[in-house]
Formats: sequence, C-alpha cells, structure tokens
Amino acid sequence: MIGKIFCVLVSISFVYGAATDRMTELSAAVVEGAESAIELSLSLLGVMCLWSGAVSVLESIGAVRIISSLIRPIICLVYPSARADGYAADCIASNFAANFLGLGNAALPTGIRAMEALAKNCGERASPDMMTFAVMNTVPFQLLPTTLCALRASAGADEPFSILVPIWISSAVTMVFAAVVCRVLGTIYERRKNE
Amino acid sequence: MNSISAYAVPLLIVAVGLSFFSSGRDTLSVFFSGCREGMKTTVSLIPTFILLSCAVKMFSASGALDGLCRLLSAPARALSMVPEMLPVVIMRPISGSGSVTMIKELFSRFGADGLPSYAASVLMGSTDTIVFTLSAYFSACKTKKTGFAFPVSVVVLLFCAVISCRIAELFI
Repeated sequence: MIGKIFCVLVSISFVYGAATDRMTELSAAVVEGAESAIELSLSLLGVMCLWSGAVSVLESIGAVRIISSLIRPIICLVYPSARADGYAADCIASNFAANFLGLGNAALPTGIRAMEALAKNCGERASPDMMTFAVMNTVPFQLLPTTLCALRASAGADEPFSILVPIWISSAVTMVFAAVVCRVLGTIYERRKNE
Repeated sequence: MNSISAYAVPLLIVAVGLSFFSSGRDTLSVFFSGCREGMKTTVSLIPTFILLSCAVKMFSASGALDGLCRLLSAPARALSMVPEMLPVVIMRPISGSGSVTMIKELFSRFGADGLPSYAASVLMGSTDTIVFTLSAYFSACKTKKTGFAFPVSVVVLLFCAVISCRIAELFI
C-alpha cells in the first residue's frame, strides 16, 4: 500500500512538475525529502525513547490499568478483540490518553505498542481491529490542540481558544462516525473471512 | 484548561521518577528496556519515512496541489465545503507541516477568523496525517495487507472537512 501511495504521489508530482516547468525544484525536492526524513527520525528518536520508557514504567506500576478500566467499556465496544486481551486494551487506553492529554509525541509509541498487541495472530494481514485503531488515530481527540491555538494567536485572532468547542464537537462526531464505519466494515470483513 | 495540558507531562515524569524509589520492582531497567524498544522501532521506521518524505516533498514542490485544488473546487462546493480550504484538506492527510503551511496561507488571506480559516482550523484540530500515521503503524507490525484502513481514513477525513465547515458556520 505504501508503495502504491508513493507511486501515485511521485507520478502526479512528475506530471505537474513537467507541466509547470518546475523540474529543477522537483529534483531538489527528492534530496530534501531524504534529508528531512532523517531530521524527522532524529527528533522522533528522543521522544520515542522517552515515552516508550515512561509508558513501560507506568504500565508496570499499574497506572495504565486505572485509565484503561475507566474507558474499558468503550474500548471493548469499538475493538472486540480487546475484550479478551487486557494488555491490548491497556495499550489502546494509553494511546487514547496520550492523544487526549496532548502528551507531546507519546501517541506514536503508545500507538505502535497497541498495534503490535493487536497484531498478535495476524501475520501479514491486518485484523479489523488494527485497521480500526489505525483509522481512529487519524482523528485523535485532543483536549487542547495547542499548535493550532498558537497558530491562531500568531495570526492575530481575537480569541485563539474560541476554536476549542467547535473542535471538540467536530472531533467527537468524526470519531463516532469513524468508529461506526470501522465496526460495520470489520464485521463484514470477519464474516467474509469465515466463509 | 491550559493547566491540565501543561501539568500533564511534568506530572507523568515525576510519577516515573517516584517509581524508581520502589524497591519491589526494578523500574529503572523497565524504563531502559522500554527506551531500547523505542529506539529499535524508530530506526525500523526510517526506510518508510524516507519513502514518504521524498514523495511528499516532491508533491509540494511540483505545483500539483494548485492543480488538484482547481480540479476539485466544483465537487467541493457540491459537498458544501468551502473551496478555499481545499489545500488544507488535500495536504492534511499527506503532511503535517505541509498542512500547517497551507493554513498559515489561509490565515494571511482571510484572517484567523474568516470562514475558510476557521473551518480549516476546526479540521486541523480534529484530524492527523493519514499517510504517515498509517504507514508508521503498519510498517512497525510488518503488515502488508492493510484492508480498509486507507480508504476509510480518506472518507472520514472528507466527512470531517464537511462537518468542519458546517460547525464553523454555526460558530462564526
């Protein structure tokens, strides 16, 4: 899938680049892309290590269990395989908490852990819960979208934080929509597999 | 409200620190082994990032965004989306920093509280990148068949774009 996305993006870029005579910029962009991938990875390295370590500790002292038990019913509703697998439920809960509280980049390491927990018996094919989890992470619920408010403030908004309530509404509605669609598709997927 | 977010990170770090006093468990080595896991995962993601980063930079540099926006304005209007927010809608799934650039442009054209800027802001606050997030998650699990993940993410994004406009109209 990633290969196909790559192919589509670079082909479209090539066509438009040729059409708008931006081939030199395009060539430069290829190299810039590789360089910025390493910059991204370097900056990610620190945060991933920190949060992976911190979350492991929080797990071992049972702090994650507490959060997980609070939202367990919803997790089990959206991710059926988490009903039997408490560890997966905990990972999903810590990912949700990381997104909700805006814990820097803790969402990525916790998300990857949750995916690995959900991937246990799956091999090369993603399970419906993995797909659901991935989709839900593209619409995370953030209590305080700090980058956005900062952008608004620097653009001269009268009330940078006035955007909070609209975002909460939009986020909540979108999450419910995503969860419903994923669960429906997941059920269809399971049925097809069992046939 | 501000404080919850600001206190959360330091509090967690203190919690981790306090746990190091517990003599029953060797939490320090738990921390270190978690760290090493994080390192391994990040390094294993580098190839995926290189692929995507090149594609994204090329996409931004080629002018494809403008062309696509022009193509998609009519359908956008039909879906009651504000066409000026299309650059953000298109960039959002592809690149976080790209979408920040696009929204800054909207801010400079329409002010922070103009309808397109407001709607785009609501969209930005409710979503995250699709390509990078999904690729990172699936690469980390070495999954080849991702099923409905990508298509559904796109549909969800479009849904979010449309309701962001509606909500923005209500609140402006």
